[in-house]
Amino acid sequence: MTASTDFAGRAVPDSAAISRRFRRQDRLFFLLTLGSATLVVALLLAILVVLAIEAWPTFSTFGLSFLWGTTWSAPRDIYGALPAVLGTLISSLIAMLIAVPLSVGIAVFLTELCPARLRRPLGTAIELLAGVPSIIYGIVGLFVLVPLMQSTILPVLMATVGQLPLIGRLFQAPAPGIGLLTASFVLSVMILPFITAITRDVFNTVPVMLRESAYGMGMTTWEVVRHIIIPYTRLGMVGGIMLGLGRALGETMAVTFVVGSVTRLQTSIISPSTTISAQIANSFGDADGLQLSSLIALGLILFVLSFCVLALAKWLIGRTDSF
Amino acid sequence: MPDTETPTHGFSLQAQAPTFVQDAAADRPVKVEVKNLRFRYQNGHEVLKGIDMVLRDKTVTAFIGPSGCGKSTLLRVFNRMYDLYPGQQVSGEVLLDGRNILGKTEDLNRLRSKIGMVFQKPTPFPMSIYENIAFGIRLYEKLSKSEMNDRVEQALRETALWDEVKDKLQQSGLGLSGGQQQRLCIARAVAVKPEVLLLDEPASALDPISTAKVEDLIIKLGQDYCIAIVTHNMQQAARTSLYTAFMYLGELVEFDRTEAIFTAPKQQKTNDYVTGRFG
Repeated sequence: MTASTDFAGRAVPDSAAISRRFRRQDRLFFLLTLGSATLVVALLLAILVVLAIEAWPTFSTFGLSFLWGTTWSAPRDIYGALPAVLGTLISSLIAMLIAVPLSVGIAVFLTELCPARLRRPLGTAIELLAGVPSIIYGIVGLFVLVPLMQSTILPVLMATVGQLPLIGRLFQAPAPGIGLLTASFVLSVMILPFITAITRDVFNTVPVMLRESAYGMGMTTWEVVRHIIIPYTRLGMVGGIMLGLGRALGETMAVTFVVGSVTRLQTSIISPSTTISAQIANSFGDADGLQLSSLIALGLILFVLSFCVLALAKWLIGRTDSF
Repeated sequence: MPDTETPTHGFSLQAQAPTFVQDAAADRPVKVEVKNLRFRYQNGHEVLKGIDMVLRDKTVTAFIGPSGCGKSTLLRVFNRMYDLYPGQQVSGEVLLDGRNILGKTEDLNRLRSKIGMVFQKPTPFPMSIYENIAFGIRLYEKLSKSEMNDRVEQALRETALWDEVKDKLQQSGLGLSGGQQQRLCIARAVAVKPEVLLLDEPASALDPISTAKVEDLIIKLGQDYCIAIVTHNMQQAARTSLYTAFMYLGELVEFDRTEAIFTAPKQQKTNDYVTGRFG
């Protein structure tokens, strides 16, 4: 080995040896990270496989009609997923309808209109909302929101929108306060901070110069938000909304408290009803045999549903890449 | 003969000596008058310390000076952009056609529609090339489809962009090159027929060829609009403007015909700056 020296005559370590060592270290590092990444995929597949195996008795008994079966009866040992699946989809949809406009409005206020002194405290308050455990939302929902729904909100709804043609039926039913709409309200508050935080963050990524040139054209705040900021940040907003939707679909605890857990197909959204996760949480403890298998099949459906939401989000993001 | 008598000036070392904008006619009428303008940031730092100057109609006025001298801030007072940021204080007067625009009751949206601005970097809106221009017009004017098409075409022709984009008007403005984007932004600003055009280092992010195009554009537009341009490029100021304001540390050191500023400055400071001794 020829010892090289630097300009001052000091010995310089052999560079080939160093680069060999670096290559070894890099290789090791690569394998470690590869292992971690593979583990994630393996876990995902393992969960899917276990769910599929455990759910197999259900699908072999009822076939695919399990998906649209409307009866869920342990005494008769007949199980159908439709009430729970519809409950999940509808409660999430209503929650999104409430939470998305509110979140975007809050984000606009925080980034465009809020006095500088309030910006931080308000933003932090909304982030803290995301940190409230879901059991707390369940308790508040059950002890505060449910009585309020029963005494005030539902009667008003029944007397107003309940009288409209077509959609009126959705609001006509005996209303004990617990039910799908109540669950939707709780869900909307729960996903609000997620969507708000992400929307606010992506609004803040709009270059200052772009905002200023929009205001510089004489646009009002509304026009700047509507035509510049929202189109510019569409991608991130879709991401935030999908994250909220994913959470709404899978939320268990708070929903179980207020949804009523009635496994029957309902014509109204104010009746006690159920969702996939509420159904599993309610009956998992004392289920066995075909019922247990059916509950796991419900879990599999939720899994696929969430996957589809994510896939749809990715697809939307790909589509909105260029405007 | 500016190219032989000014060997000490930094810009004349370049291959091409500047040809100053000549305006044989008498001075144009005053469009904007600035009186004892002071500006303070939220942290109390005073960046404009009593500026008095005028911008003349159909004339290009350049603002030069080292970074932090307040020239961009001055530009942002003209369209009250500072109002977006609470806590910034301004005193004095800015008269647009004799009317003070710094009043509390000033309609900022209307004011900004009359005072166009172009920034250091191109800022096309996230919409099609056509919409980038039509959008601003639509804010304050109700036009038929064909009138709008004419206006868009006119704005794009004025900025020499028409031939380059006429076949892709419906494509995103973000797909254009940097130089084209910047000319699109200028087109967008002139399409609404502003009374004043503010250019904040409009060519600083562009390559030399695009810069030349933008400079030609500024000279051409200067015949129709009252233009204020902030620039770090001394040659650009010399080439495009009839008047130049040299600012230093928040004060207006010298304000004169561009040719006078570059060939016979009255202040030592100005002379040092334009000859490249500092800044």
